[in-house]
Amino acid sequence: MCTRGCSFLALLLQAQDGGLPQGTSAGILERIASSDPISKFVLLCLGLMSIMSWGIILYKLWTFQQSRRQTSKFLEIFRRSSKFSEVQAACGSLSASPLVGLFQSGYAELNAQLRQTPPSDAGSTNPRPAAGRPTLKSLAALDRALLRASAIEVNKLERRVSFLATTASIAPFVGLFGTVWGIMTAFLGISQTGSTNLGVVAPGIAQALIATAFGLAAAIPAVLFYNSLTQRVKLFASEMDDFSMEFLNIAERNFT
Amino acid sequence: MDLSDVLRSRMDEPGGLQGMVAVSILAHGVLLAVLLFAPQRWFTAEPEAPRPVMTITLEGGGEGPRNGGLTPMGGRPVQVQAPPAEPKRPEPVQRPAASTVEMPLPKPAPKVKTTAPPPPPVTQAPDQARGETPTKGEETAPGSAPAVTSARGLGFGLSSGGGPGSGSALDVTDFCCPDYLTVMVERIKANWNQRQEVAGQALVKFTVRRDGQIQDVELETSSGYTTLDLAAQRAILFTRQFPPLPAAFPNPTLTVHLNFEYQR
Repeated sequence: MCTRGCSFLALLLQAQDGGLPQGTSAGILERIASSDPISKFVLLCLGLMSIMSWGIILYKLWTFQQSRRQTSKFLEIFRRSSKFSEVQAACGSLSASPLVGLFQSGYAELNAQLRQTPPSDAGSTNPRPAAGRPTLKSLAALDRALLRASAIEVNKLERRVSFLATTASIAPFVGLFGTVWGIMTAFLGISQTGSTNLGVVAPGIAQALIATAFGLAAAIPAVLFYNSLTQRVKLFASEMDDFSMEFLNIAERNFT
Repeated sequence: MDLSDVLRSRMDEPGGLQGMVAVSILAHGVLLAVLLFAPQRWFTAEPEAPRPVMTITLEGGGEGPRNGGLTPMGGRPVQVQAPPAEPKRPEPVQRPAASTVEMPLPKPAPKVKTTAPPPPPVTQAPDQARGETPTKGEETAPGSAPAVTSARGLGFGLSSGGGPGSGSALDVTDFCCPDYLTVMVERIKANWNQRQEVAGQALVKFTVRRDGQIQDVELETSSGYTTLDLAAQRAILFTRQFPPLPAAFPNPTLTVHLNFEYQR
């Protein structure tokens, strides 16, 4: 990833350094090419932010789409089959769904508890042993295992979405910094030339305002998709809560 | 499989982030390329064509003409765009005007002027001068003699003695041409036998037509002697023809009352 990004940056800088053929280039890019290094750096940061935030947006949209599809498939299998082992076998191909993580951890905890209490000496520990039927030692432990798994799944879903929040809040400020810097230099230029002609002042200010425009352009989609993605994470979380309740219910019904 | 192993394995993030970042870089590169190589007019608004502006000044300026309005606005001249000059249409071909056929008038025959042969040079005194001795030098003779003046009065008439006649009258109040009357009186006088033995006055009325012919000769007032009356009427009848009435005289006929005065 770094090599691609760096090569792109090199290309961008090359374009900014003035390799533009006159006449075909747009006015905005001419202005950027003629600006000072700090403005260029600000614009570079904003460009990186935009690239990264868009990459994360696309990635998250893609993974969430996959998760939703596989979750519905998994729930169908889970409700249809009568044995956990069948479901466990199907989990390998549906690993994108967060419910799979919950189920796998719950199943592991269940297996561990059932292995610790073999049915041979169950009679000694259990006052009312069911004949040939494994029993759970602790339902609370199973609940905790499900909670851990759900925390991990939510963390995984939320990962990198925070970068969108960061971009959304920082990018306008970065752009504003570039604008302030550009206007500062423009006024310095006015004081040096001693001319208050609008033709002298206007290009510098326009050049400075490009930074704000870029900042807003980076921030606005970040805000939009941050809200939408967090909303979807919340939906997944409630879905996971629902599934853990269902799993607990099934375990309690069958193994106590 | 232990629970911890399961949880650890679930912590791993699914792959695909790098691919998505690559897609993002590609999209940004495309945007940049569009910015670089798109024609300039995609980013600049097209300049509007200048519209004709009609300027109406509401404030300032002089007072308008007093046309009875409540505000001086009424008389303000408002600039109006002049309409474009219309192209001149070709004139339609007109029908020729109806020509009136000229009425052929008969051409009056050119009048042949008959010039009277010049009178023979007088080598001898006229008969009237017979018996009179030509005067030699200054002579004074007692008696009255009419003073010859060129003045002609309006009154006319005939008398056997000197001086103009009197009492003649025309039926029209203002006859235009006294010369005509003079010519008329002279012609009558040439035919008038004025040597009668008695004195008297006869008034004769006659009418002159437009062409100069005389008609309706009547005796209006008798002199008391038939010879005098007849002589007067005869003078007129013998004359028979006058010059035509002058063009300035509008009436078709002229009625004249002529006084013949016989003196001894």
